[in-house]
Formats: sequence, structure tokens, C-alpha cells
Amino acid sequence: MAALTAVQNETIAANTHSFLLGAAGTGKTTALQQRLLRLLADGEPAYTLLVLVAEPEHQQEFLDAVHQSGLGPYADLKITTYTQLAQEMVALFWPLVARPGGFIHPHRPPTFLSYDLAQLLMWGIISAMLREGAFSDLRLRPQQIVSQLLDTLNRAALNGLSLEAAIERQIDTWVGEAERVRHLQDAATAVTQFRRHCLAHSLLDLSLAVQMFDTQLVKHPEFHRYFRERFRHLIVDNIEEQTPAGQNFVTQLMDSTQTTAVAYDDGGGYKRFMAADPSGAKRLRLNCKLAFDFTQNFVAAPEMTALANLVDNFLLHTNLPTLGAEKAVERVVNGRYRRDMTSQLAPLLANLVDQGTPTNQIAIIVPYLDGALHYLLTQALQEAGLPYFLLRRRSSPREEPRIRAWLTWLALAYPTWGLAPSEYDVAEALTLSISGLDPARAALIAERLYQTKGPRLLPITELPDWLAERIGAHTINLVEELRLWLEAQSPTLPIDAFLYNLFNDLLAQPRFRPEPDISGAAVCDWLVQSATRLRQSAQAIGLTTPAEIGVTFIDGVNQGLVTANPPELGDPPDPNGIMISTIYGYLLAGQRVTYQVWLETAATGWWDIPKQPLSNAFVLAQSRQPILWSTEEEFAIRNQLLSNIIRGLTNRCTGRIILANSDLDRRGLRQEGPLWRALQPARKA
Amino acid sequence: MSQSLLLSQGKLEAFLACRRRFYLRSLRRLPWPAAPLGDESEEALARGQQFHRVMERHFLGLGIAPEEIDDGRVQHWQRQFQASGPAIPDGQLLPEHRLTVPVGRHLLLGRFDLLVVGEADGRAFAHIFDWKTGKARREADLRQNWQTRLYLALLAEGGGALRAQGGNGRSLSPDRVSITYWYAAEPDTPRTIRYTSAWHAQNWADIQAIVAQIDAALSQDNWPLTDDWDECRRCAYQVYCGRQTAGHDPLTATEEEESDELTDLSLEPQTP
Ligand code: SF4
Repeated sequence: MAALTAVQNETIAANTHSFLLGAAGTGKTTALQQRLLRLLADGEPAYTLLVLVAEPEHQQEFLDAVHQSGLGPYADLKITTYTQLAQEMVALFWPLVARPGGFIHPHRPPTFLSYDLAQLLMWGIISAMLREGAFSDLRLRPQQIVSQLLDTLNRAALNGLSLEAAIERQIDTWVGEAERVRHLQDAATAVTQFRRHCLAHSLLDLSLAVQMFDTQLVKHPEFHRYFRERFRHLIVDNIEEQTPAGQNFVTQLMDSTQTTAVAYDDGGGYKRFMAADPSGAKRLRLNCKLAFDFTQNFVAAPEMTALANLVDNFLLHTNLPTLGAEKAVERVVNGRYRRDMTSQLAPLLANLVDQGTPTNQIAIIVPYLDGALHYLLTQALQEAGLPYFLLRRRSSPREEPRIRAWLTWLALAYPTWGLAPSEYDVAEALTLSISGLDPARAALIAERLYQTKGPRLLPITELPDWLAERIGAHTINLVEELRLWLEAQSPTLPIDAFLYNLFNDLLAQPRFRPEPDISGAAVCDWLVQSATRLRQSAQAIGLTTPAEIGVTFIDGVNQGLVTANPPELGDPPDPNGIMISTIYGYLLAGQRVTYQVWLETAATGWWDIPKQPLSNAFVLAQSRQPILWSTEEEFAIRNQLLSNIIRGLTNRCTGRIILANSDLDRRGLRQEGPLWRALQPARKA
Repeated sequence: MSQSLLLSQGKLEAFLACRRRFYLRSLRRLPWPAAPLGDESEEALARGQQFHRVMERHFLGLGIAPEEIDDGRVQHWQRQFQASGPAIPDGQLLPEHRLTVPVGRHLLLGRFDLLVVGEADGRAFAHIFDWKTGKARREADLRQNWQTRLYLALLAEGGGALRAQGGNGRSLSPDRVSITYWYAAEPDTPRTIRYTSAWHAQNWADIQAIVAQIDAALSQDNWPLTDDWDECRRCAYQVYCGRQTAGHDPLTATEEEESDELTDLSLEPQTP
């Protein structure tokens, strides 16, 4: 490890509350980790230390530091995130919060709703409302409505607002078309119904877990006693990513800890869409006796700062020095179409690798990765022989063909559920289930043997001889085996058991798949676990029969509900490959690299904020005055966010930036977004 | 491979049962669907977890009355515990406590239902309590069990890290370490096992030997399939290994489902 700086040493030694302020790459996290080791080395039992990080992925870095330190045994060191802690503590102290929190059956143990289950519950609520005409004329897919409604619940709780106050804010600050107010009122009905259902069935989604923790537990004397007796030292990294609820907790805890070290990443606050409140976090400085300014950047060269300044000057009308900004740009790759862009980019990256840059020192950062761009990019990387991996935070299971395939068989095994897959789905499922069966022959089988009415597969005797011959006896027999197996399934078999049996008893067997189907296993494992979670919570969600559970499961996936724990789709990723990530995914992962590719630099996606007519993250921010929402405010926010993004990226780049752009977007429209324009002087040079 | 591993009881047992399984599950982390538990096992597991939670609250001083417990069986267990639970020595009560102890370049991990640490006769002691809601086992079996052996060894080697002021040593004298198993099915006859220095010398040597075998397997990248096909009857990787002919045992949940991985609790939605 590099020698520590004076300010790092002071931070490590501090014996009171201290605030560490500095940009990314200035050594704050290292100082916090060393401080943790110092406390342990001084004989402070690990049990008395609490480390709060912004993302679950950051826990490991702190643990690794302890493990590599050679400090010996330690007991019950708690390194966690605010939401994990909230969930854990609400579960532990449930008897203290259930009744005052409004739960109708306070003796019933709580069931936590993972994000996919919360979506299914909300989906059930809005389906009925949609049938009655709610949200009419709102151009959103049902899945988008569901996720925005959950966003409102979560944002309210994380901002320390009551649900009523949050609803009121959204309606009162709207100035556009009157129609929107009706949609917001429908949204209010849906979220209120969702909350009531949770209170009646002891269900806790993220919002309710946070609300219970923030409004009931944190101020409860028993809880205070527990925390006071246990935690003597608090370490908080990336406080700028904490929400008002998280900050409230930190402030309260500081009253009883002997020391607290809080690190603030200037320019961060990337989780603003999840209620991060960087300005509130900065105020915690006032609660600290010591403040340390981290100014020496170990990562970013001066030209990187100049490049970020260039963007600021354009967006925020500042007048910061930009001398040498062009030196931060390695190359500009520009093609007319996206295909031109990716096919030029890949050889350039291959060249960097040939010259000695490890592939894990390259990150491709993209505002959004639609299916076509994903395909073009990964194809180009594969052709250039470059390994890669997708830093996928969440994903939609329906995008995985094998998930669709296994669910197709589930629907066919239970025809009374009334879900008829399309002929295409069946053909696709056959291709994925029987090794060596190509899509053309699978389509022929589906055409001849699949009846949507029923729905059912017909016996293979229905195939004309010529076709049976063309397909081959081995394949035909497997199709028949599959059909008979599906027919034989008991109607009372739980869906998770069905999916497990389908894979293990049938599709993973060598006659169907001679080589172990590792990707298929990952997908099936995910499906079985998701189905188990749904089955276990089914009653509380309001699903009583196996058919209701099955239909909800299949419907939910088909509606594009996203999951928090996606299976690894496709080939196993290469963790040492080139990272492909969305902007915030990359920034929150916190990884530094030598080369960053800013893909689609001219796309307005760099400057866009998610379109969420039913849930405005900025209006719901606790610190915002309840004034009318204006276009000027929205533009100012977009500029500020892009400025922060670029500052964050350049602070995480030890080498240079590659700008890669296509003139036309996927709809053939010319692109010339704000980032592209801001970078013009650096592009020209 | 040169990684440092976090080794829990479950992982040691997996290594001893089948090296291939240890490799697939803990090193390669190869997902392969495991059979869902049957309703009965699932209920038993949920009740067991609920009872552990009730005990954790009890030892945190939350004072939850049995009638506040929804499940009749769990309520009954708690009443039994109140009427005839084991004597708890005076000391600091640490429910659901984890201890991590380095061994070579790896780490051993134990999670105790309740740990009591304190001083008696001027000497430090540590006493583990473990609540069991399944079928009661004989003391002789428990002495051989890896939970007993690992937990006692962890405290002897790393118990110094537990003492409130950090202690000044890393270890506790083995004869000051003990474990009590309390079975809800036999509440009046807790099984208490006392550790000794002689036992520790042998036990710790055995643990180190297993860790050395893990190191050797890591350096040679050698993970053979087990010869004991009975192990394959309960293993998720049966098809992967081509051991389908081993057949299946009905799945039952182990009472202490350990999770020593960092988990994404997944209540949160995606970041745009
Ligand atoms: S199936 Fe048998 S050989 Fe394969 S990992 Fe499991 S126990 Fe080991």
C-alpha cells in the first residue's frame, strides 16, 4: 500500500467525530479502512464497531482490509448498508414496532417482500384498477406503472415523508395538463391500497421496512439502549449516497458513539433517484468536531479535471480552467451508424490490450444499453477476441430465452390455467430444451403438434412420415417424452417443485443435453428460488390456489417485472474482462480504470433523467420546498447531474477517455446531445 | 488458486463429504437448482428460525411474553424454556454472535445462538448455548459433531477477541470453554460438553489438517467426486456429476441454515 498522507493519518488517529470531505480518488475510503484497523489494533472489540456503506458490494472491501491485516480473530463486526440494517433491525425488534406501526396482526412474524414480490403485489392491485379505467391515456406499460408506484412508496419513506404527504406534494406541485392530476390520484389510490394490504398481512416492502425503522425504531428507548450498549464507534463511507432517513439514523447514533468518521464524496450523490440527499449529508459536518479536507487526488490527472471543467463551463456557465483538457481524450471514434461505431471501437480496444492494458482496466460506459446496441457491442468485442462482462444491477427475466422456455412448459403442463403460449414460444422452448434441434425443425414441430386451444401438445403420431423422418427419430422420441412428462404432472404440485423436476428429471438429462447445461441450471435455479419465494408469500399476497400462484408467476415475468437477483444470462461472464456498465452502475461500483469509453457520447441519454410521470424523485426530496415543478428546475437538475456524472467519471479514470459516437440514433435521428457539445473543444484538438 | 476462504461448519462438512461438492458450491459457485423442501420440512425450518429469533430477543432483554407469539408450537417451546431452560452463567450475554478466527491464510467462522463470556474464580470463561428444535441427539454423538468441535476450537483459539475491553490475548484456556445444547424436545436434559486442553490439542490439529488438505486441493486444483454415493442422494449436483443412479433421499432442512456469504437483500429496485 502507498504511504499514507498526513490528512489520512490524522483521520485514522482521530478520537472524536470527524468529517472527511473530498472528491472520489482522494483516499477517503482507504483512510476509513485504516481507521477501522487502528481501532481493532487498539483492542476495541469488533462487536462495538459499525461500518455503514452505500452499496452491498462495498462491504467486501472493508472485510478484505480486515482479513489482510493479520490482526487475528474478531467477533461480530458489522459492515452493512442502511437498508439492510433497517430490515434486520425491524425483524429483530418486531414486537416493539408492529403494533404502533399500524400492523393489524402484530403477533404475526413479518414477511419481507423482495422487489419482485412487491411488484407482483402491486401488479395485482393495479390490474383490477386498470380494468376499471384507471391510468387511462397514460402512455406507460403496466410494468412501468408498477415500478413508479413502488418508487413513490420508497422515496416517501427514504425521505422521511408520510405517504399522504408524498402524494400531496406530487399533486400540489404539478403545473402541466390536468389529466396528470387524475393519474396521480389513481397512483395515490394504488399506493394506499398497497400499504393497507401490507399492514393487514404483516408484509414489509422496502418502504415499510424503512418507515418502521425511521419512525418507530430509531427513537424507541429499547432500541437506543441496544445501540448505545453495543456500538462505540461508527464509520460511514459515502454519506452523500445516504437518504434523509439514513442521515437521521447516523445523526441519532452519533449522540451515543464515542467516535464517528463520516466520509463525504464531493460531487457524488448518484442515488438521487433513490432519495440520496447530498446537501443534507454535507450538513453533518456541523455535528463533527473535526473536519478533514482530502484534496490530493491519487487517481485523476490534471487534464481529467480540465475535461470535467470543460463540461461544467458549458452546462453550469462556470469559468473553470480547461487548459490541457484535450489531452484527457485518447481518441474520438465516430461512425454514421451504431454498427460503424462499435466496429471501429473494438479494434481500438484490442490495440490497447495488445500494448499491455489489462482488459479489466477498460470500462465501456453507456447511458442505456438496448438489445440492439448490446448485440452490436458484444459481437464486436467477441470478434476482436476481447473478454467482457456486463455490470448488471438488475434485469428483466423475460429477456432470457430459457426463462421463457421453462415457463412455456409450465403453462402447457397446466392447461386449465388458461395461459396459451404462442407457437413461436413453443418452438423456441423446443430448441432450448432438446440439444441439436435447430429452430427451423422446432418451428415445424410446433406448427404440427402444438394447439393453442387447450393448450396442448399432440402425440408424435400426428406428424406425417416425411416430417418425422426429416426431424429424426431421436428428437421425435424426446418430444414425445416431454409431452408425456408434462401430461403426467400433478395439478397440486407446487410450481417450484415442477420447475426443479422439469430441469433435473428431464431437460438436464444427457439424452436431452449431453453436456451439463450450466447456463440452463443458473436460470432454473433462479426460477426455482423465485417461485419458492412467491409460494411462501402467496397467501399473504392474496393468492390461494396453485393456479393463481402459477398464473401470477408467469404473468409477472411476461409483464417484464425486474428482479433484484438476476441469474447470469448467457455465457458465464469473465470478471477480468472489459466492463460494460450503465453510468450509475459504474459510478456506484466505484471502480477505477485506465481507459473509459463514453459510448454514444452525443446521445441525450447522458443528460436525460428517467421519465416518471407517476413519481418525481426531485419533488419528493425532503429538502425541496413544496413549490411548483418547472421546466427550468428540471433543466437545472439535468445539467447538475451530468456535471456530477462527468466529475465522477474523470475522478475514476487513471488514463484517458475514448469518446465513441454514432451520428444517428436507433431511430435514425441525428444525435447532438449536451455532452457532445460540451466536449467540442476537446474533440477538435 | 491463492484465495483466502471463509470456512464455516457447513463448508468443512461439505469438503469432508465430497470435495467436488465443496469446489462446485464454495469455489466455483456453480448455481444448480436444489430440490425445494417439502411442506413439513419448510414449516419445521420456519418454526426453528422463529424460535431462535424469540430466544435472541429474550437475551437482548426485550421480554416478549409467550402469548405474544403467534405460533402455538413456538409458544410452547418458549414456555418450556422458561420453566426448564438451562442455567445461564453470570456474564455478558451475546446472542447470535459470530467469531472469525484465522487459520493459515483462511478464516474459520462460527455463529453462536448465545455466547456468555465473563469471569469466574478470577479466570475468563466462554459458554456457548445452542437451541435445537429438531430431534434430540445423544451427547456422545454431539461430541463428534463438527459444530461442537469447530465452535469449541474457535473459542479456545480466538475467544480473547470477545472480551469487552478487547482482552490482551487471542485465546481462552480450553478448560474454560463449554457448549450446551438445549433441545425443545427434551427440555429438562440439556447436554453440556466441556472442552479440555488435551482435546483441543487433538481437535485443533485435526482442523488444521483439514485446512491443509483444502490448501493442497487448491494448489493442485484437484476436486475428486466422492466414493460414497449416499452423499449424492442429497446433493444438488447429482445430474451435473452424472450420478443420477444414486437415487434421492427426501430432503430435510438442517436446523441451522448458515449463511456466511454477503447477501443482497433485494428489497431495493434498480438504479437507472
Ligand atoms: S453428486 Fe456426488 S460426487 Fe457430485 S458433488 Fe454431489 S456428492 Fe459430490
